[in-house]
Amino acid sequence: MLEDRYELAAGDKIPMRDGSFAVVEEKIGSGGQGAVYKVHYQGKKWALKWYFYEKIKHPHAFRNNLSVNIKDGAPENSDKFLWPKHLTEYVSVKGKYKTFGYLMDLAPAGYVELEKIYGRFEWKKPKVKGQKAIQVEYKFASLDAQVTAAINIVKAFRVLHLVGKSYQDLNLSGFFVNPQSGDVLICDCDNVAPDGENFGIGGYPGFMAPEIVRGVAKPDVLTDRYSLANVLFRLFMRSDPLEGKKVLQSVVLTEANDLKHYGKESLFIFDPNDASNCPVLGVHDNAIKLWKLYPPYIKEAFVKSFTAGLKNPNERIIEKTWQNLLIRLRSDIVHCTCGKVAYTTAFKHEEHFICTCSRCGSKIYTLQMKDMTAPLYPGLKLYRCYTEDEEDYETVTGEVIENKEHKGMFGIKNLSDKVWKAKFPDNEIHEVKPEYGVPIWKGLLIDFGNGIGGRILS
Amino acid sequence: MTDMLEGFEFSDSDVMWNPEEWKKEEAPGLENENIDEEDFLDCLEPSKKSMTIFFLIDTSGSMKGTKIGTVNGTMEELLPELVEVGGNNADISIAALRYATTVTWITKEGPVPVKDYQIWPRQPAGGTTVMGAAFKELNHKLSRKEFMNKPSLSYAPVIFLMSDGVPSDDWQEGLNLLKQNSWYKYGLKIAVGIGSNPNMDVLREFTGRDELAIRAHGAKELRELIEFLVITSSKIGSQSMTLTDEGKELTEEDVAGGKEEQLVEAVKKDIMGEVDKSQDQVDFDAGW
Repeated sequence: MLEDRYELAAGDKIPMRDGSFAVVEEKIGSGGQGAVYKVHYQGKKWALKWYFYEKIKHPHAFRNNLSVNIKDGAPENSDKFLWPKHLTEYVSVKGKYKTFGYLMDLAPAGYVELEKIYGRFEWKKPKVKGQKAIQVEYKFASLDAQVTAAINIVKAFRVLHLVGKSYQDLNLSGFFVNPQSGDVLICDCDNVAPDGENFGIGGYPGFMAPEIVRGVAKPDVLTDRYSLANVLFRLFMRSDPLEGKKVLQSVVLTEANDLKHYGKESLFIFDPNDASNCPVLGVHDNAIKLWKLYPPYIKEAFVKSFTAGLKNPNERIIEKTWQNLLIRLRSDIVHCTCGKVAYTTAFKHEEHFICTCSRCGSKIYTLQMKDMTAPLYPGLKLYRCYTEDEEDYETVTGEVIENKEHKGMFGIKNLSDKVWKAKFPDNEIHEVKPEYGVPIWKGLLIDFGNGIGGRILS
Repeated sequence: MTDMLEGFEFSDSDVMWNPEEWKKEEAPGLENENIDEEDFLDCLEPSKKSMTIFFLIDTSGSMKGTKIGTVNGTMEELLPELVEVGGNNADISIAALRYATTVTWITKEGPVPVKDYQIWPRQPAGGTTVMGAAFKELNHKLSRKEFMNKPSLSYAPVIFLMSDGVPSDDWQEGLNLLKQNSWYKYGLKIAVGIGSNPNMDVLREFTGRDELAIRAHGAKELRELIEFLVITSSKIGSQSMTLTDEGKELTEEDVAGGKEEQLVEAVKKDIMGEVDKSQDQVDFDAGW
């Protein structure tokens, strides 16, 4: 009997509000507030989040809020949110209480939880008793995919915050990521509430803003921003931004130490004015190694987030700024013809805007578009946000390619639907129609239209 | 040519990537380090907190037969279940000792990560019950110089005591010593009394909370209790606290003992109702 168990089992029929049932197929996950099952409803497979009722502090208000979210739909109807779609009816459990759940879309194949990529390895119990535990490895396929994932996360939160809602429980397990492309789906949207309202969730340890840990604030847009910076830091530096020497010295993370190091006396591991919580060699090796590989504008953004922004919620970086910084970061990735891939920081800069590959000696020039710069290497993609007055960082409008008839001659191919004008090596201005290209040379100037231009920096 | 530049938005002051900043970006020596894409993607695991589960197992003569058999069988089944408990956050290790006439560490080399410790050596039973000596030995090892020497941050340990009888030595002296130990103080202590004759007062004094010293009468109950208590306390122990919404600035006193409170709540809610006390189980002490 369904009513006799806390957990659901295959074949259980959950009553829905339209009078029909969702039929449970299997358990696919578990969290602090409930478990997730794959179910069949209205001819389609869904994910059912089924609450541990006693873990929800204000169940009626929580359910009402969920109902409002279902009615509102995902922000901007974005398909990047695995948004709540249908509420179930209440079901009585052991005569003690009634609980409920909601249906959302299942994450498609090929997506993994960001938490697993952060952890690098997942240990699973052995299939046969006495055998060794099984290690599963997770990682992004490319640096581009990793930065693209960061851009997608930031974009989703910008949209959510602009419709006046906060997410409240922002942490690495709230994202499904495609490690090949960097595409991101936001899951666990059930705590989303109008900014300033909270239905009981505090957040996830390690990701909560210090003022929540201290007990003086509840989750809202500003605490989301703290958690967002925390997620981005972990994504790039593979470390906890607040766990350094000072925290390690307390040896045991008791409840009181937790309150101290993540609340009252939290201190960034790379605080430029206080090195007492710096990362420790042998424990925080990822942070030590990766921090120095990032360009200064990214480090500055993290410093701001975890110094001024740690204490003053209004000083936290807004999503639009992160979006610009991260788009810039993506355009700072150099793919040298020899195969070396890294940010421009890992290349020699003998002349200001020309970097040299330390492995093969190739010179890589820099193209400036609007206020963006990008190293020019074969395969570099120009996005609509570079060449048009749009924020679209996904649609490719140009690409650096080698001319098929003249080997060794590289150019920018127009993949947009606009006609560009450019200064060719003959010093004349020519039209560059869609699907045509312009050779790259020292004096190259491109008019993308609408007053947006590109040039080689020298 | 000049027409083309007209109306363009860049001037040198607009260039975000100015030469000064460019110079700053030349991290000394970085370009010679041969950094590549894999350096960003093939990271080490992020630093995890460590947590140790201590098992103190009574292997005295009275445990012989079904009692020690159930304990051994449960430990065999428990080890794989513990692999996934720490997740990304914590590395969970096991340290187990048995006490009878003497005290012996089953994990001789100190705490072993549970992912590497999947074969439980079945323990024999025989002899007296030197629980006091076991407390002293635990106190000795609960030290930064001994078992708690991991360089990473630790969560307080889970300490699980099992006994079916009355200690044969001065348990009080051992426990008094242990009570001075900070690892013990902050740790989550749980105890299971087995069968009809355990000294529950000793176990309650060990845990410091009456609710966390529980009696198992039969085999099924013992297995379920061990599993529930170890998994629940490991989960609670290996996570930082999610604090409650007090609406006021929290103090150390407010949060102290928060995990123990969570464990007590879980025991009250789940164990008291969940453990199967049905008649079909083997009663350890029936029919003698």
